[in-house]
Amino acid sequence: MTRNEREKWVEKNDASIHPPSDELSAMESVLDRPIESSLQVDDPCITAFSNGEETALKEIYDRHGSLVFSFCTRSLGPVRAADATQEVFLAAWKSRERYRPESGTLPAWLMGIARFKVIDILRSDGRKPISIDMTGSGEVASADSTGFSDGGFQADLRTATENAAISLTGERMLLAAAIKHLPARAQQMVRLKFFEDLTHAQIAERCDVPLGTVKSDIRRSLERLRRQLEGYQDA
Amino acid sequence: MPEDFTDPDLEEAEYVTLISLGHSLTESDFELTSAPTDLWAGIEARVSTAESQSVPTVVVLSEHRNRNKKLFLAAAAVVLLVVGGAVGIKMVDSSRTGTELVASADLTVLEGPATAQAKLLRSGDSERLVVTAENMPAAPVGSHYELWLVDPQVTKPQSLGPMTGSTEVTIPASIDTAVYPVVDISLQQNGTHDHSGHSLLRGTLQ
Repeated sequence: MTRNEREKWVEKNDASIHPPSDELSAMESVLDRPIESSLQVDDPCITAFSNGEETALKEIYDRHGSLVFSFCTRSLGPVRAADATQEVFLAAWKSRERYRPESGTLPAWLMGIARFKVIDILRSDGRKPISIDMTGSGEVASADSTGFSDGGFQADLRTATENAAISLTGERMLLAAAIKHLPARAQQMVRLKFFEDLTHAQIAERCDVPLGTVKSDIRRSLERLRRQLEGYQDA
Repeated sequence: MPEDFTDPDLEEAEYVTLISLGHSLTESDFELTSAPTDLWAGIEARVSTAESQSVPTVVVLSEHRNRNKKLFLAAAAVVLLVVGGAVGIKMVDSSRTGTELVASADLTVLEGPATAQAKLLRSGDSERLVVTAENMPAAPVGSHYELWLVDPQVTKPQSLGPMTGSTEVTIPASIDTAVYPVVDISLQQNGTHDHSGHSLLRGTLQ
């Protein structure tokens, strides 16, 4: 199953908690596949990208453009997001020789570039981010209501905090995108763990699957998700 | 299956950062906005432009480019302003990578907590400056850091663009590193184009 096929499959089954048995076996095969394989370390598109083939950049844009654009939109607003997204992919193209698949995934690398680009844009025009979600709670504060008073040190602290919040937003969106690429059953388990903080036993009961299956699925999913984030902080 | 495979406590400890990040997720993090349909066309155009300009032009200084920069740099190192610390010239595995380390410099800290090293690399006819910076704080609001190449007489600093930390830039063909061997990092007010005179780090490529 290709990545696109898997994406379509996940989309199709997003609302389905209990997929048919034949599709269940397909899910198992995805989860059981070696992580390196699923991360497409040997992805011909990445090889072509590194070799400077522009068609590969288009494919990468098709895969990850909406993630980068969405992150830029959240941080900069829709007007500046388009230009920022262009700059991200242009920067990625110019520095393609520096990308190392073994050091991190392509979306993590792209989002790492996007994070710096957003921070650069905000710094260069002296403006503030559209919103600052300091905690990830979804309780978004306006950039003017963060409680910082004026003054040099406070201004520096505010900038550092805003930059950290931007970075965290990007990492959360990267994680969310990675979760959406898990097979439906694993995705549901991970969501229950992250959103509702359920124990393995509770997840087993909720999903009506054996406890051992929950443990193994979650373990492999966590490893897969962790690998998907690698490279973001180092980009 | 390893023993710890089923131990939730070990799992929590091993993936503590990831799980903490996962707990902070909101549904809005899953929502993606479709990019404008013409956005790719813009990227394609800018990539084509970048490809047609193998090296970007910032300031044209001289039509004549020194073809023997390495020798010139070595000689210049003796007589020109020396600000940097440990330096070296060596070749690195050029047979395999095609990249040659032409010169380097440990930048002297003039102000602030940041430290940095600079390396001048050459691949074919293209030169790149790789700056590795540490402890560089975010620039104060309304200002930014900028990377420069400067001649020893400081007659006309050449901007290589803004920077936020470690960076790698292609040096425009118009800038001769033999003439502009001094790497300088300044603090600039946003909107200014000339060197502010407020240098934080500086060193001479040798």
